[in-house]
Amino acid sequence: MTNRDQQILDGLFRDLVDVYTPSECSLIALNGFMQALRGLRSSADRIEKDVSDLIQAVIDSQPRLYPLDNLLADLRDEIEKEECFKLEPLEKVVSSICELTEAQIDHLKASTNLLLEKGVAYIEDGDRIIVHSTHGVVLRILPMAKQLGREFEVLVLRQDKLKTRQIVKAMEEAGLPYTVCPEYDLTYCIQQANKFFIGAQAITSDNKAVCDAGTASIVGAAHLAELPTLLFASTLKLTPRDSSDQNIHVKSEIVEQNGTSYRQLTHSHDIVDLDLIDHLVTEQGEISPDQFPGLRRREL
Amino acid sequence: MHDALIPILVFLGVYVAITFELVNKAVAALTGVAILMLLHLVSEHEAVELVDFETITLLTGMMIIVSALRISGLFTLVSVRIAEFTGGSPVKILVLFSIVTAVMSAFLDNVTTVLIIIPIIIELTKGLGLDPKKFVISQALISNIGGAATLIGDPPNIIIGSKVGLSFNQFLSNLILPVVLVFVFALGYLWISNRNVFRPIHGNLTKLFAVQLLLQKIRFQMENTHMDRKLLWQGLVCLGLAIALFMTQTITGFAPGMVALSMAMFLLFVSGIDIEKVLEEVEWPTLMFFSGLFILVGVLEERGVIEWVANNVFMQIGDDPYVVTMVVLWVGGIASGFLDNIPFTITMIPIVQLIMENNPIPNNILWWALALGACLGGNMTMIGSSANIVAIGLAHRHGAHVSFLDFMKVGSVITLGSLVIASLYLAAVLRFSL
Repeated sequence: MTNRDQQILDGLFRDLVDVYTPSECSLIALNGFMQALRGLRSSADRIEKDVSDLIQAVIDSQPRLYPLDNLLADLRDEIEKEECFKLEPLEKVVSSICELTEAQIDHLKASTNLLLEKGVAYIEDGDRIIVHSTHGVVLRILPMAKQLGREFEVLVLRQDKLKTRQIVKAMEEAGLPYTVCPEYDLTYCIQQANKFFIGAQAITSDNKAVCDAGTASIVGAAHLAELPTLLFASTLKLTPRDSSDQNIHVKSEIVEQNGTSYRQLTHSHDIVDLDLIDHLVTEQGEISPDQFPGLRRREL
Repeated sequence: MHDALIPILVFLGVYVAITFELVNKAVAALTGVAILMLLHLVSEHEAVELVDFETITLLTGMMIIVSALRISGLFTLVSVRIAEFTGGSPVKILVLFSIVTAVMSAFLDNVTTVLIIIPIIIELTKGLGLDPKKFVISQALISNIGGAATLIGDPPNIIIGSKVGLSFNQFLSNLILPVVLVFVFALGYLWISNRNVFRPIHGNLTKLFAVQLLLQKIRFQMENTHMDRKLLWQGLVCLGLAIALFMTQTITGFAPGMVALSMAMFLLFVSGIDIEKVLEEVEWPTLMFFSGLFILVGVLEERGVIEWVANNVFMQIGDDPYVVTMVVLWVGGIASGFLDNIPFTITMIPIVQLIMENNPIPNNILWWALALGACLGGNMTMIGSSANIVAIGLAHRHGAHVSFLDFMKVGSVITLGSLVIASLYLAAVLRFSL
């Protein structure tokens, strides 16, 4: 694994994270891992190093990706436990690793479905819910609640044009009533709402959530306005690493605008203090920060 | 000839402005026409009569069909499917994209083809950590080669076909063999000279994994492209009908320009597509450029300049058909490498007509020599064809800088090889024709 290969993977992950939810990215990566393994022409003595290097490269990616990191760490342990690399011929090694990867995919799907079931209970008739990112769980909970006959409205806070388009598309497909508010109308938007739903990339050991860029300011404003913020994240997103070790990417670019140019720094994700979150909903139900140590996943 | 000095100076001025890109091509050509009109060297009515409307209607019709197909999302769909099909293998990227580029260039214009192919090939190669330069250059070259195969593939062919009255089938049956040979040669050269770039990736798990992520990213872009399936099918049916009518021109008697424009109007009528949206995509500057050039060359022809050049330059080479054919091919090839091949072809047509009057070489061989020279010669430098300029511009916009020398190193070898293949082919055809 060269630095160049790591940079290529990091760049691809950043592009995917921009448009897919963390769970979707994890599914894409796990399926891609199986496809790559099936297409590999390697030798018995090389495959162990190839697989270990790739898993480590994904775990070290910038940004870190949850639940993928946790699932891959589990997969690495399972491969070791099952002694996959001792199998012969090479096809058996590949098929056994793919089977274990499938199991991780099933685990992820089951965990997500459970989280949806728990999450839908937090939507009630008459709710006016603010949504600003394309977080998969959030976007799937809303149509589920609609199917269950709940009457509520969604306030789409417009930050990133592409993400707003995706949210609007999801709302229209689900037949949900929605209103789009630009971010500079945040204070008015908050006054009209009674809940704010967010998702997270990771929940870190120092009780922070790694969220989509632009989340922290809205959470802060909601907290000041005493608007309840609900964070939906499966326990697969709990990490023993702290928020400073999340490989958040900083993009530096020169922006040119009507003859003026300036350097702009953009962070790929926001760090949100869990103290500002009113309800942290997982597939195990709502949990409080003091329950984290027991749930915290082991060292990667 | 005595009153030709000003038209000659105007024509040379326009040529210099076009070659060195001093102003937009259309502006250059129409400024030349405006000067001639202001000096009463040509009237408005005479100018209109000099425009070859067969060429203009053919180009307009095809541009409308292509723009409707682009709006339908067809080209995004095609490029994503090819990307998936390559599986990230560098050799497959080269070969599959080259085949698609060549076929598309044969039936659509080359600029449209590179506009479709280059962004996806840059995305694919950059995403895999490959240098996109070689791939960009290869597709620009292949688009010029593929375009040489048909009447509608490249502007020089459209002009020759319309002005001389050669049919779609005549172009296809006479040019397909040399074009296929040149295509194989170009691919072979590109592969041999860049073997390290085209190494297989199936032994590298990280690269195989990166390909999967990349394909997913590309698929997402496609999912977010507006697809109008009804328009897509309507556009394809109209394009198919147009090609079928081009091929049956000898039976139906319908000129290609009329066919293209009729099919375009039929498509607009049945699809109900927003006409303004379609017309925005039509390359009006190109149509203006063509019209202006027709007028400028027409004036030179009326003033006897073309006849003088034909008699004093081309007639001096003797009447050996092999020599005459090779001169037209190689002069066309080399000139098109450094000059825009559209004005060159428009200028050469009356010259070749005069040569043929004095030395009737059979089977339209001189026209095939001119077509092959003008189309294949455009590969010599990055300014040799519009497709090259557009491809390099797109590459630059996507962060891949291709220099004049980068292009010429590959382009000159492929052009020389192509012209040698074309020479052998034309010599063989001449041998059987005489």
